[in-house]
Amino acid sequence: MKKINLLNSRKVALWEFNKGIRTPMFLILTFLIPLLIVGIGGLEFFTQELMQTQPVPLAFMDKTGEYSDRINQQFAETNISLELFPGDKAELEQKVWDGDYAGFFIVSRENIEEGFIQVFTEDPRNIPAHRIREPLEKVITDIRLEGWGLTREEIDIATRPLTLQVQPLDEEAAPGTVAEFVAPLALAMILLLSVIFSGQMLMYGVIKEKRNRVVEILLSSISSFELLIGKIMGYGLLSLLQVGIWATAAIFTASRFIDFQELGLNAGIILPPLLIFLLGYFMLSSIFAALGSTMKEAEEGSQAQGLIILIPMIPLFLSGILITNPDALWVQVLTHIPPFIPAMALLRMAATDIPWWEMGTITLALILSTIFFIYIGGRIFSRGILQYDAVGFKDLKKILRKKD
Amino acid sequence: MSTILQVENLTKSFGNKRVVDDISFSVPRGDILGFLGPNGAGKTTSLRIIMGILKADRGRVSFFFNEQPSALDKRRVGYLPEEKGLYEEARVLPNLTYIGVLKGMPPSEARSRAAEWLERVDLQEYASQKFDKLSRGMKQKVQFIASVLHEPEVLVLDEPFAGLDPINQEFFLGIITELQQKGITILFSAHQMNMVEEICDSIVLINKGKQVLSGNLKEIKESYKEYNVSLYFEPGNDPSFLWEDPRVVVNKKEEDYLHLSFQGENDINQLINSITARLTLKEFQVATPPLHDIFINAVKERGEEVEENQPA
Repeated sequence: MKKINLLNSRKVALWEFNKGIRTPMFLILTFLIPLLIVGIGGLEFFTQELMQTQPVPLAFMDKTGEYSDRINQQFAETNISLELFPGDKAELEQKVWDGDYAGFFIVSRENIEEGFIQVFTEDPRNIPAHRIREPLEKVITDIRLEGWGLTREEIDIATRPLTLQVQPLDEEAAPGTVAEFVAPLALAMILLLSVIFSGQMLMYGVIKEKRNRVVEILLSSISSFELLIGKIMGYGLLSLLQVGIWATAAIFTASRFIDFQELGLNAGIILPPLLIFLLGYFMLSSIFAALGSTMKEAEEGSQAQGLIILIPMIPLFLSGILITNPDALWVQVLTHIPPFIPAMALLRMAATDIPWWEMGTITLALILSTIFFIYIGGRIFSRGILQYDAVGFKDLKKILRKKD
Repeated sequence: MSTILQVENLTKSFGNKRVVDDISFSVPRGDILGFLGPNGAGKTTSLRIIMGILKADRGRVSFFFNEQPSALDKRRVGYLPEEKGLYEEARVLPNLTYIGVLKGMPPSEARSRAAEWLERVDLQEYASQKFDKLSRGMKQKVQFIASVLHEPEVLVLDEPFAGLDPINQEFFLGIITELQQKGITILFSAHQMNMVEEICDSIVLINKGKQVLSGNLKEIKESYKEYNVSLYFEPGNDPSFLWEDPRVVVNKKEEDYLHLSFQGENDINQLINSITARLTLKEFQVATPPLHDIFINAVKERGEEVEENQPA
C-alpha cells in the first residue's frame, strides 16, 4: 500500500461533512426522528397521565357483607371512584349500560378463596385492570391471612416485598452501576444506528460519484485510500453529530424522570466501549464504501445495505442468550471473529466484566480486522469505482488477487 | 528543449483485450502534444495510466519536474477527464474550491482564483448555481477550470473538445494556446484530428492500442512528401497534361475542378508553374495532407484497419 496522506483524507472528510449536513435526508433523519421520539413518548406519557388522573367510576357488590369498608378504604387513595352498590346484579348491569359506572365487580367468599374476581363492563378498554388488581389483591391477601389467625404485624412481615442486591465477594469493590450496563448497550445500539444511517449515505454517495464520474477528478488529485478514509471520517462525523443530537434530545427528555448522577457514569466506563465503537464503525463503513463502489444503481445498494446491517444485528438478535451467558466459550470465540467483534464485544461488556487480557485480544483482533477491511475495502473501492457497470464476483476475485 | 514527461513501453489489458500496446513517447517542456486516434484507440486508458488512476501492466511513466526523473506529483499536474462531472448538488464555486484544495491550494486562494476563472469564462453569475443546473457547455467550462485552477506545470486533457459547439471549440483552442504561452505543457487527446492539428507541436497517433506515428508535427508533415492540390479553372481548358505525370494521382475530376495528390518533395514548384502556364485559374490551393489522411495512410502502411467506437 502506498503512503497515505491523512491531510488529504481530512480535506475529503470536511467536504463530505459540509455537503452531507445540508442534505434534506440528513436534516429529516436528524431532526424528525427526535421529534417523533419526543412526540410519541410525550403523547404516551400525557395519555397515561390523563388516564391516571381521570377518575374511573366503578361499583362493587359485597356478598360477604363484611369487607366493603376495607375495600373502600384501600381504594381511597387511588383514582378509582369506587362505590358499594346495594341492589342486585341486573340493576347494576343496567347502570353500566346507562353509563353511570365504567364497570363493576362482585366480592364473595368463593372469590376470596379462589382468588378470582371478574370485572363486568360494557367496554374492556375503559377498565384500568392493573390499577384495580393491586388494591384488591392487598385486601384479599389480608383477609386470607387474618383467616389463618395472623396478627397485623405478622401479616406485614409475611407480605413484605423482596429486595435483591448483587454484591461482589470482594467487599471493597463497588457494586455494579447502571452505567456499566447501559453505556456499552447504548453504544451497541448507536453503532447499529450509525451504520444504518451514515453507512447508507456513504454507500449512496459512492454510487453517485461513480455514476456522475466526479471520482476521476478526485483520483487525479488524491489516492483512492485517502479518498476512502476521508469519506468514512466525514460520514462518521455526520453520524456522530446525528447521534449526538438524538442523545441530547433523549437525555434532556429523560433527565426529567432520571437522576443521571445515580447512574455512576464516568470516563472509565465510557472509554473502553467507545474505542470498540469507533473501530467497529470504521470497519463496517469500509465494507459499505467498498460495496457502493461495486454497484451501478442505488437500488442494488439498498439490497446490499440490508445484508451489512445484519452484521451488527446478528449479535443483537442473540443478545438474550448472550447477556445470560456472557462467558460461554462460543460467545468468547465469536467476540474475536470479524465482522461480529464490535457488536459482540459491546453486548458482552454490558453483561459482564471482561478480563483485561481478553479486552486486549478483542481490541487487537478488532484493530487488525479494521485494518484488513479498510485495506480490502480500499482495493475494491479503487478498482470498482472506475468501472462503469456493477462489479461481479468474477471481477471481485480478480481485484483481490491482483498484485499492486 | 528538455523533456517533462516520458512514457516508455506502456501496456495495459482488460481481460484478454490489450487496449494499450507498447506505447512510448516523450513530451517536450512547454509543448502541446496531441494524443490522437479514433474512438476506442486506447487514448483514455493511456491518459488514466499517466495520471496514476490506472496501473499499467507493463511500462513506465516518468515526470521531469526538476529535470530529474520523478514519480507523478498530482499537485503539479492538471487533469480534465473524458467523462466530465463534478458534484451535481453542490454549487459551482464550492465545487471548484474543493478541487483546488485537494490539489494543495489554501481554501481562500482556491476560492478567489476560481472566481477569477469564472469571470474569465463569463460564468461569474453562475458561481452560486448548483452544478447540475448548468448547460453542457457551461459544465465543460467549469470542469476545465477545475483542471487548471492550481496552475499546473503539466495539463492533461482527455477529449476536451468532445460535445462542444464550434464557438466553444474555438474558445477552448484559444485558452489552450494561451496556457502554452504561459509555459504550461499540454497533453491532450482528441479524435477530431483536423480540428486540433493547428495547435499541436507534436503528435502521437494511435490505433487499436498501438502507436502508429509520433514526433514533431511539422517534421512528420514534411517527411510525408505529398501535397494535396485543388484547382478551379475556366471551363474548356484541357488539364489532361496533368495525368501524363506519374507523380500525380487524380482524386476528383469535374469540368472546371480537379483535386490531385502530388508526390514529390522539391518538384511542387515545377507542377505549379506548369498548371499556371496552361490553365486559366479561378482558385488554386496547395496544402500538405491533413493529419487524418496521414493517420489513415500510416495505418494502411502497417497493414491494419481503423476501428472505431469501442470503449477506450
